[in-house]
Amino acid sequence: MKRLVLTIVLLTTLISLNTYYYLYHEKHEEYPGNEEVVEGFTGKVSIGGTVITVIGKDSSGFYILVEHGHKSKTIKILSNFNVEKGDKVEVLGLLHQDKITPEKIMVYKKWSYYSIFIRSALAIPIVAYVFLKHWRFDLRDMRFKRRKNA
Amino acid sequence: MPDWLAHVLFAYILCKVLGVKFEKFRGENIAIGMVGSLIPDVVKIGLIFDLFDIDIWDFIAPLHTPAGSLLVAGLMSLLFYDLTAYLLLVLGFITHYMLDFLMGHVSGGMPLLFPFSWEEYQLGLIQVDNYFITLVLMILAVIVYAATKNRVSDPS
Repeated sequence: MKRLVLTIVLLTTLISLNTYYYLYHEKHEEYPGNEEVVEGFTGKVSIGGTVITVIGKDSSGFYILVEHGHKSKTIKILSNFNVEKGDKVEVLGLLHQDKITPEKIMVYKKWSYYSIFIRSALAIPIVAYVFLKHWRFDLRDMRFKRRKNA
Repeated sequence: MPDWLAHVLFAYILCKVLGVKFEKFRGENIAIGMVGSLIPDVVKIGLIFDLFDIDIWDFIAPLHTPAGSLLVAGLMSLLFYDLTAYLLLVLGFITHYMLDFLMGHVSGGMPLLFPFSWEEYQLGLIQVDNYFITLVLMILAVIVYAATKNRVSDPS
């Protein structure tokens, strides 16, 4: 009974915390992000996207696809930063007429960005092995119990 | 965020080092600390919703705050018998924020004091996709494992 009450209290608090964030986070954002940009916001923004077109060396810049949910928008980044198609880019800068003059830019190479997911996936079997080596789930009590011969 | 391997290894190393002095951080309890190190990334459940074109990120974002992690750790600890599990899960997720705090983005950071403050914090020392930190932690984990193996198994 105590466990049930605790579960309800913790879940309720967590849902309240999430709701509070959902309702007020936009007021506290330092800069508008992808959501506002795909809706047509112009001004100083902090966005992230994927490089879709790199303009030749004679004219500086490249295009990124900025996405939020179903919506997306193509933005030109006025920078001669060395990027390739598929790279992930974070940009802080002034957005005007679908072009950004970056104040700050971070580029994650495509292979490097996706390697995060590969390394993360490696952790799952390691944690599962170490954990299940020492613990087993008791369905009757609905709790983990120490294995005797771990 | 660094990758999960880095988070898990960091928690492992910390538990192993603490385990030299404190018994609570040995054996099966290390596994709980390692699980705890992934608690803040429960927020990645949003990726599953993305597959169904459901955008819940703005709702679940607090899961990647210490306050949210405390609650998730509380819920998870109900699956164990004693309070030690809760403390180990908390230690685990603290290691997660320690590593994430080193990361840098073009703006923002982590709202570490949410819901009391919306201020975001980051040190900006390491880029998110940096694998060097994982490599260093892997080497350290092997060293710590080797160094503590005999010590822990020694009954005296």
